[in-house]
Amino acid sequence: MASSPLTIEPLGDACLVVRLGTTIDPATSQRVAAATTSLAAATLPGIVDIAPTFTTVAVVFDPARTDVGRLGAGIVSMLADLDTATLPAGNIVEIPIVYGGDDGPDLAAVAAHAGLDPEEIVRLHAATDHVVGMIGFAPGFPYLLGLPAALSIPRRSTPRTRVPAGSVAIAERQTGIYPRDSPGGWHVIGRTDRVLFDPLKSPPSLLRAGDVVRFVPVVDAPTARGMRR
Amino acid sequence: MTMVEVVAPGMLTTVQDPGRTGWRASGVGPGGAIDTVSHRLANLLVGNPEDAAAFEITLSGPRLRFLAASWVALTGATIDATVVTHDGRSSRVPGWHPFWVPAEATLACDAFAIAGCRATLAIAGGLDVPIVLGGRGTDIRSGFGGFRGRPLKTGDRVPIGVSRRSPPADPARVVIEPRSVANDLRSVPHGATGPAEDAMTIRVLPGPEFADFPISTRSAFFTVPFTVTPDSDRSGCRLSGGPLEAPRMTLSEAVMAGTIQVPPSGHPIVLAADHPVTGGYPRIAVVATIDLPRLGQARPGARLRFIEIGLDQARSLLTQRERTIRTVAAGLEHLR
Repeated sequence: MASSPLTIEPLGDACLVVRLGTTIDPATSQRVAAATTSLAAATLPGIVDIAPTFTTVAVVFDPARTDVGRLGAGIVSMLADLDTATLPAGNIVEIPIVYGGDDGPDLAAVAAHAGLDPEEIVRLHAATDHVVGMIGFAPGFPYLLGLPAALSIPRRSTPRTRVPAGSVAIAERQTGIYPRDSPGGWHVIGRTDRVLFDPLKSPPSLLRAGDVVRFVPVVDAPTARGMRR
Repeated sequence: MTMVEVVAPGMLTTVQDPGRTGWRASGVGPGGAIDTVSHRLANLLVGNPEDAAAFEITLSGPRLRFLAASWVALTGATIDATVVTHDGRSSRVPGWHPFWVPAEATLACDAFAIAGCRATLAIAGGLDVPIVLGGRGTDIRSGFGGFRGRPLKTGDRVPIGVSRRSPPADPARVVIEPRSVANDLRSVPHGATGPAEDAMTIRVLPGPEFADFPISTRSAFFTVPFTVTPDSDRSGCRLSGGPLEAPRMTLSEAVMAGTIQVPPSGHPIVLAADHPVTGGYPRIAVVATIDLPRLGQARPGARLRFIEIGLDQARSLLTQRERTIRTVAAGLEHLR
């Protein structure tokens, strides 16, 4: 596939943003993943952190010790022949989930909005391969791409002040999982007991950009939870 | 092991260091001290490596009982501080100078800050808390790092590392060193008395969405004064003013400390150390790294104005300040 040219724009004086596309699509995600891999393996001086987003890679550097012009030129030459062919495939991660009930208080509202039965919502959601577009919002929070169009729904008009840890929620064409209790404006359809973020692990996030998430419905919640502990 | 015991925690006192790098892809931002320059200088004043962990005090500090004698320095916000020795004698101690706290003495910096918002309290030897994800700073929201992943509470006993400085001739008395650091490195100017100062001028670079804002908004951004609101915290400095007319953004994008986002309300938010790594509001500008420490000293009620500088100027200002800090560090070399 012919690759569109990348652009580099500064985000203040301590970050360069490499833009690899303008819309969320599989080709852009591939290019972001390839660029992230190349830059992480690079030894360009001054870089202190690298973070992929949906369409960009943010390259954070030490502004007191880095010539931004030279760094930008280094990035351009490094990414000139971006090769997405040799990319390692993302991990497939199964996430057990209890849909509906107290664990998914918005499932009925989502079903009503879609004009489908709650069972059909569950079937569609669990049958989808959800690709991690990026980690953001909170440590370990995955933005999962690929929500079927039939399930698309605007954010709640009033965000909840507290969404419990492990809540699986949807908005627009995305699914998210809340690693910790936090405020949230997405529709909560279920809950998992997988730990999404553990600061004592390296890396601390269960998921990373490019991984594929499959939700596995759990029927007998207490037993299943006990077994996994 | 040497410790300090928390008699009273203050408004919000946390263990901080220069912050974490390398974990943005896991959603972990930098965290760390908001006023990094005051943090580094406080450490240098007590003979620590400049990246040692120290307390970050917010507006009103803690009362700490020193189980063992220590060299201490208080930088950043101007806070009246007193050391009361075990025989009941009390001594005022100044900011920006190292002072010696005898064993069993209590350091009280719980008066409300006279100027500025955040002070660094460094203790010789550094705060000896575990390293988590490469840093000792407290991530309050996610509850890890620092002292048990949370702000200080009464009764906490925080371990102190081994000091490289030798004690003064009479270790039973409070000693104040005459040596300090140049006034131009102080994020809170000497003699500043409160929030009613003239509007602070904060230097910014245009943000990625700057050109997407209407021309009138772009011009308003650089002319109207903004006021820091009380809901500001370690994740962001919230401003009222304008309000600015904001374009819609479709995708969340990378953000940094200093990124100025404009949400639909039109009241800008300047992200600070504990910011999430991505944000979905248009980024009108980004505060130059040189001014992040001063911005961190803007307390609720403070007024700000933004002016634009270029990348070259931003870098040369930083290089110059690094030189000054190196000179200060060399001058304090005898403390180490």
